[in-house]
Amino acid sequence: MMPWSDILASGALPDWAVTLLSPWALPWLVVALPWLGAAVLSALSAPRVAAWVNVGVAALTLVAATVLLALPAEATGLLRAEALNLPLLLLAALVGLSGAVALAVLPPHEGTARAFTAGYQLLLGATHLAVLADDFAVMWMALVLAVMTVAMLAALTRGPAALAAAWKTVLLGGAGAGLALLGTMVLAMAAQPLTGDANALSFDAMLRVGREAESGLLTLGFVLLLAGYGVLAGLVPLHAWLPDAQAEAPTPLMAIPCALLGNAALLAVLRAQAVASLNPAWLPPGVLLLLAGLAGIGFAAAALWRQRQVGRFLAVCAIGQTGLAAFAFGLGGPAVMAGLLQMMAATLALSAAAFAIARASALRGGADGMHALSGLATTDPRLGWGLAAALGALAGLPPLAQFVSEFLLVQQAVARLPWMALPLGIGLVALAIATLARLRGLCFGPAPEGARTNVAGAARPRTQEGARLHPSPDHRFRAAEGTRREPTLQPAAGALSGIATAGHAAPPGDDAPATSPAGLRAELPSGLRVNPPAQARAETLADPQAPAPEPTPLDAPALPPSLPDSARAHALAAIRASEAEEAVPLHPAGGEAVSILILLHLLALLALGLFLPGPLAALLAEAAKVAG
Amino acid sequence: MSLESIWSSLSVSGLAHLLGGAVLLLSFMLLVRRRPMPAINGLAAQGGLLALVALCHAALRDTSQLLLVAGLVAVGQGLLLPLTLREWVRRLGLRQGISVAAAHRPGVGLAAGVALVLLAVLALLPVTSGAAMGMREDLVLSLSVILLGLLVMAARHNPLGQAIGLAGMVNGALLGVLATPGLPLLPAVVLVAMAVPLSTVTAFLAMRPPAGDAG
Repeated sequence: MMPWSDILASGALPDWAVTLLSPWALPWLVVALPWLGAAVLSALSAPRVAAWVNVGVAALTLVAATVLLALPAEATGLLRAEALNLPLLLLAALVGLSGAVALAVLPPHEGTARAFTAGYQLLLGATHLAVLADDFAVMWMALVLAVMTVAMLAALTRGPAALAAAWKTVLLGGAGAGLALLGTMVLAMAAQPLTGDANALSFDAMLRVGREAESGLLTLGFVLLLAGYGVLAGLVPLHAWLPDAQAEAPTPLMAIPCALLGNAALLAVLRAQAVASLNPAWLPPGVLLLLAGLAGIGFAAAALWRQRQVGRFLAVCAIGQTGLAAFAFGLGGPAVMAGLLQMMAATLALSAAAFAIARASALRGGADGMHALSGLATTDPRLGWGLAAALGALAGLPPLAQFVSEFLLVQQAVARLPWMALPLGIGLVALAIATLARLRGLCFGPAPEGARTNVAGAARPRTQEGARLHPSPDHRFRAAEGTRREPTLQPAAGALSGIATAGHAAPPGDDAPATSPAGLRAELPSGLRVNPPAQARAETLADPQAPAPEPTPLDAPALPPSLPDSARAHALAAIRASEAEEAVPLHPAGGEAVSILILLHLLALLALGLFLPGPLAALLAEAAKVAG
Repeated sequence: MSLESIWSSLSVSGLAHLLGGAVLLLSFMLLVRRRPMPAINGLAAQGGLLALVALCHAALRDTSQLLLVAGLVAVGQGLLLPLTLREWVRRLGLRQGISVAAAHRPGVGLAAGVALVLLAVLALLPVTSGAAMGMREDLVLSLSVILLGLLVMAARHNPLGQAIGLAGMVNGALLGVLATPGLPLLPAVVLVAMAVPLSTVTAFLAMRPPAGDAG
């Protein structure tokens, strides 16, 4: 292959392309493209165009990230592509692209799609910057931006629970950012006498001078960075924001931004550990990571059983996988390779599971409870089996990549720290059992009643299954700030008043419009959109043969007792319609697109598991040499 | 180096530490104040003191970058953030309303704060025993203010008090940033750090429903 400088100097390229492809500018392109995309997307109001712009920007970013592979390794600057970050960068760009495709066919709730796609690109740029940064200060700034973006994404539905989750994210993330900033400064104080002013915070320079640096300061810096970035990565005593943020986000696809942020933060911890372990003081840095990793595995193995909401379920899965990677990084040496492989495989599998769950949730009218989504393999076999394969990968089933990384991890643990291999083994088995048990319920359990008809397009209000079962734990937040806003009730109340007057005005005995769905739709206030699921509900309601739906807790307070029967039926229909308003019409090609995406992710997992591609294996081995 | 220049540099670095100590004292004030307005005024004073610390370091190290940073800190932490918090209080009608402190006995909060400062000192003593002796005071002050900010965040049960704690914690981190010599990206880091509490508070104000429910 031609050296990069020869390609640039060959004269075949125009000047602007030479500038753009020069080794210092190209890494910035990977960051700038998503940010440009975010700016464009925040101004675009046409949802279809925005979805394709999103996909296009993500595809261009992936191309730019792939070109980085060809760059010479000795390039310097604030951003540097090297063996340690290239695998994760490529993975982030790849998952960013498939997430963008999934967002195009599975848009989030009405009204949040534009902000979500813009925030998604903003976060992609920030995580790419954090992964590529050679300078610890740049990395810190990028991670702060990323966690703020995640909080913004979590708040998009603007319900009280979503605001509480976003507030929790901001507070914990802000606290983490403060600690990480002090840790970064301590590292700078340790390295500055040796490296000089200009690159006091360069990872590369620190690796060179780390052996002579003050050991106490290095260890202190690592501990502060671990506490700070541990919050963002979801390491266990500091993970509390992650399940809330994923549960309250407008779509289960939120698992992808959270996973990318977690990867970038964990990479920052790994870099700090690599520097600190060059000259360890009273505490070897790996010990803390080992403990946090074990705690993460144990927490996930115990908490997976209890999750009843899919966002929380995916978040707990992610916490367990992060724990495994942290354990591997704590072991050091060749285990770092297992940890990197684990991070890549976990991101691929989690995003595949998120695609399947987002599609299943859309099929079942926006339900997000684990129980409401159970029995997927019977109602939609392709989706169910795809989800089963993705969750099986997370559990570490043999032909897929997690099996290889976990095997390597256990092997390293037995060889280096035999007394740690026992708790690791117990944790791995418990985690696999919990994941498989939940997999069985979700994919092969009994489908909830009416799931068949739901597949045909009827709605099950989101409020009944997930959100109502799991009110936000932070009641104090609501009590203190009075954010008791029920967005679903407000249009319903308006409809109620309008329809109640219509019902009173109708001559007595003239019930024909009330029993005809067309009449129902005609009388709904114009502000109230009726989408197909809502129509189906309205028709069920108006059909005398159909079994009457269970009254929801929302119905009782909303209806004054003095309403005549016909007006009551109208009002019920209006309330249901407004509840179902959140559900988005299904994309016609959504099923095929999601199946293909899941299949591609599974193939990638299989490729990583069966035969590690040669260049990637070389990169990972070199990364283990750098960071181990 | 002449005796005079040593004397002047000593006094300026001593002044920087004195101002840092005042920032720490104000953090204690944030911990025990029950009403929101005095706490916000305390934050504004902290921001002003931080700007003075930056000026001291600018005089010590003779860099124009730190002058810019001093201006940024004065505007951001000393002016913009307190004004935004005041707007929050005004919208909620909290002026005579609820307390931002959870602990009804300020003694408990003070004792916990002192314990955290002692923890910071004890944790940093072994770490900074070698060549890093000169950074000990700065690190202790910075870590203490950060820990006190975390304590304020943990002790408050309403968003306003937690936001004040977050801002206090960021002030502590800024104290550490200002004490670090020779950072090329210093203004950018300071800007991002100040954006954390400010964007949090403005986003909260923008996203919460407009009704004046003081809860």
